[in-house]
Amino acid sequence: MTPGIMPNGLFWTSQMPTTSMRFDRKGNWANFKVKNYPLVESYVFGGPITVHAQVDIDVRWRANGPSASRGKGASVDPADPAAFEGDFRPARATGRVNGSRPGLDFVATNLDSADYYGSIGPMQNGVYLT
Amino acid sequence: MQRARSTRSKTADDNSGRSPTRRMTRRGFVAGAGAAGAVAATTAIGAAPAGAQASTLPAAVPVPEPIPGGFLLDPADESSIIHFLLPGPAGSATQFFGFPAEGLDVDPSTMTNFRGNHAFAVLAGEAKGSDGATYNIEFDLRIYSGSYVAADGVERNAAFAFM
Repeated sequence: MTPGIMPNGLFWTSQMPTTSMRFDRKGNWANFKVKNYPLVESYVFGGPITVHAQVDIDVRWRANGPSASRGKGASVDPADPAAFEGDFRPARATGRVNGSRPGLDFVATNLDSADYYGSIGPMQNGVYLT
Repeated sequence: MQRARSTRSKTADDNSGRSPTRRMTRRGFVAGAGAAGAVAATTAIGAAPAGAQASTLPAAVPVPEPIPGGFLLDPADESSIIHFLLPGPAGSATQFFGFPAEGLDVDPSTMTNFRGNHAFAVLAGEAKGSDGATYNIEFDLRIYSGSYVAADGVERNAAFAFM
């Protein structure tokens, strides 16, 4: 279940209520919580069959390391993966996700990013690069 | 990005706990996502299907522009680009689907012309389905809050999530 791909190519990214997320001013934590948020699922990438679905998400990030400068900003090509500037701390995220669509509900209560990676912090890209 | 796989397939797994057939590149996963039960059709930002709680949805804002980079579903077709990158320590991979991390100097944003706060993580765990099955679930979640400039050139404040 995802928000879909927009005509301009924006990938699986959806506007959220500003009240759904909070960031600690000191970069120590972030929270994201939405309930009954609508999404669309088509089972096959770009396929014609669509099913309306809803998700509840409650995830918290906790920074667990020092901040580090990331990205190479305007010194690289805009299409370069490093074409951004950020001051990131590694972070561990935990939380739960519930999903519901016709025919199937699921509940995941102990999600954890410990086996991969997470990050938190301020960033900028595109026209905001110095 | 939520990806789920039934643990009932574990008898076919290799020693790593991952099915050999799941050792796909990220491109391969996206192209063959029907088996994983993921992915989507397009939807307008801010649009709500019938029955959604309208009070939970913000007033729609213009769509942000995607980051210029990404990966190609078809190496011979530049129009097949998916504007998405996967940050993470070089040499690591996501737990269940094994998508390789691209390094730490990798933009976690899917939208360009953005300035603000972000949080990113690939969470993993088990999900209980109403069909009685238990699924391994992998959830790439990114949140962004701050200013952005859409194609109309106007700067706005908004919040977005990649999922």
